[in-house]
Amino acid sequence: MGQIFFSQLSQLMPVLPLISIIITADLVSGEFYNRTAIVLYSNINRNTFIRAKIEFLVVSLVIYVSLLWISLIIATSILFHAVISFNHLITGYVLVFTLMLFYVSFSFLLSSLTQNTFVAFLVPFFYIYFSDFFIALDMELLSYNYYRDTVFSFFKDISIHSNCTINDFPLLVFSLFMYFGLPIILFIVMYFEFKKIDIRV
Amino acid sequence: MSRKITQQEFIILFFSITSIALLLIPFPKTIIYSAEGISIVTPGNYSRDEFILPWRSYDQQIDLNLTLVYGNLSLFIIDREAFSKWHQDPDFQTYYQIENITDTLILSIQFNPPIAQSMHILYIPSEDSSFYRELKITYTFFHSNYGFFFLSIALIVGGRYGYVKIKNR
Repeated sequence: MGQIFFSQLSQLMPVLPLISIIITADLVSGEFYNRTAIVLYSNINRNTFIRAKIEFLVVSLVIYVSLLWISLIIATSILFHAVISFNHLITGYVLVFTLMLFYVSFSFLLSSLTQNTFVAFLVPFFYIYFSDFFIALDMELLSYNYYRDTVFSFFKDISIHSNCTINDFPLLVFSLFMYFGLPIILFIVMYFEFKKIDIRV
Repeated sequence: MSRKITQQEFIILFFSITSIALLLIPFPKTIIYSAEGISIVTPGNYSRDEFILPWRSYDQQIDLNLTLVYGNLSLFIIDREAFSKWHQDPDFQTYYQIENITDTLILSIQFNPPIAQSMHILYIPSEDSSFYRELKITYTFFHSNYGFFFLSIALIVGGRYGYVKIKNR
């Protein structure tokens, strides 16, 4: 059952980050486009503002991934007459949530830096679908998809087979660090960049 | 008079230094193909090991420990071009070849292919043969792709920085 669950997840992989980009791309730039930024940022503390935005994003992702999981559970029970084990559900939930958090933070950062919705949408969009280009050029460490695949195969082996053969331990540790740490790093960078935004633009 | 370094200058410096380091510092690499049981090959077939050498790699060395259980083998080390010609042209160019191996072979050879490419080690039997092998490939290489990628970022950001400076002068 775990095998089917993870294969279903891998089929969803190209689509999932797209939704996180759509909800994030105009989160900051939209306010500049609508000319509401100057009113909002001069009346409300920026720390409060950014905290509210991050909370909104995290809650949106939790709701979105939870709904996705409920539909997956229902679909699996109808199609395969089977129940996905709790371990697989939790592992998959954390991995998918982190994946979407990365693209949210990436798009959010670009939205803050450029104040342009088009850039905040297009750059992560191309990064999702063309980051395998880095793998083809032997620059796999620049591809988040590479870390995703390494981390997914590691957790898949652990949760399905209960054992895992690690060929390159330092690479696995680095992949884990990048997969879970990069969204946090991007949020921190974005936090400081957000404070520097010139609201008179 | 000291001046605080700007964020843009820091990015240019960071990417320039990183790219120069990646382009100039050689990194050693070792790939080990462990013995994975006994291989059995029959005449007309062959067994093959493939590995890829990156561009700007030097001091390539192959350490092979081949033990023949029974039979008779020939061993060829060839590049991608020779491998594609191999079936049609019997006079293909090899980096190393040894024929009629009937016992244990411990081999350590150094070679220097002119360009980056995949290399093949062919084990071709002249009679029913069985063998196992341990293979170690070592080489020194430069992370050229990363280096040029970071250099291009430094040049783009630096170019923009210079353009703005000149424009505002």
